[in-house]
Amino acid sequence: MDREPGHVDPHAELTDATIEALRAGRSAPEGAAQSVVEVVRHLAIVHRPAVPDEVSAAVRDSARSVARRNRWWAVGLRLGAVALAGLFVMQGFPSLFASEDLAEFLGLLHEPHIYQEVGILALSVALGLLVAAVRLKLLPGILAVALPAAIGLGVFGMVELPHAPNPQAELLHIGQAIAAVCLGLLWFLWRRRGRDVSGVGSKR
Amino acid sequence: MARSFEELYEEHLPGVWAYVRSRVPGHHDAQDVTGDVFTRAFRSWPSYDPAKGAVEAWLYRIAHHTVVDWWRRRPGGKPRETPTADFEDDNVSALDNPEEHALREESLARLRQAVGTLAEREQEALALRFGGGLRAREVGEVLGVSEGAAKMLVHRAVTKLRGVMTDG
Repeated sequence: MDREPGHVDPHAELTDATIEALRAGRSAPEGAAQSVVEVVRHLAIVHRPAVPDEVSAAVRDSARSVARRNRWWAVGLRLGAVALAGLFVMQGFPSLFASEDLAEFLGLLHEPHIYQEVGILALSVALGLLVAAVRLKLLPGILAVALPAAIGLGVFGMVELPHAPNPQAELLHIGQAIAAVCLGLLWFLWRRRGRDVSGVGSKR
Repeated sequence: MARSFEELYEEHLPGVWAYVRSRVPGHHDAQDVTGDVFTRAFRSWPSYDPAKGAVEAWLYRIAHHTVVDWWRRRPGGKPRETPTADFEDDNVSALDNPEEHALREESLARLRQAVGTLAEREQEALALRFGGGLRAREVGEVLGVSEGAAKMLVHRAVTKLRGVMTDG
């Protein structure tokens, strides 16, 4: 890969200035050789063929088709984020607002402080997911939190499931893990699909 | 400034077509490659980050990779000289005088042929600078070189082509 320290060849600068001047419809700068001006004028013609109508039409049709596919990807991601948010709401809401009833139902010791903290965290993750469902660019950030949290809860759920008198909580946690992994995978595939074709980030 | 992909497409289709047309011989192949460029750009539009560079450089990087991929898939790969015979059908000269028109077409044909003999990087730089209408800084971003290096590539190419014009 070519690199130059700050210095730029003055002849190259003059050629560049000539190109810019002629492109803008101005006269060539002082000092520009007439032969260079001729070459620049001819290169502008050689490199700017008119766009045929069939090319415009074909590209427009292709773009519309891709737009439709892009919309389906976006719909899937939004629905996935909303579904996962719903599962975190199902965990967080009773923890925060009905912790005693929840503990009794699950047959567990009631520690209000811990239930409320879990409720706040779960609802915060849910809120983040709902925001990301609206603004997909925020999805990677919230997934960085929601995915490990959900997987951790899912592992906990699988461990506790055989021993739970009422397994609803464990099943909810396993569901959170599955939904989060699916959403993460969908996002990864969507990003990879876009990055592969743009070449951004590829090594030269 | 936020812009839609449709605005990007409308603004840059002529430049991308010109760039692809100068890098891919054959009208129909160039049409297919141009379509591929915008298909790829549209698919990756959601992941474009303005903080990483100008949208023009982003789009022409996609065009550059698409052209490279097309040559890779072509049996026999890229020839040493870029074929230029097909370009003649696309240019329209507005000169009134038939004799001037003929002379102009002759010099254009010589120039096209000479461009095909330049170094690969010089051809790329010319296609981006003149076909794509990019500034030197953006040419550098697409090719992965500094702005100064991009200006040198174009200057070297123009210097070599001066001989073609004066020898005619």
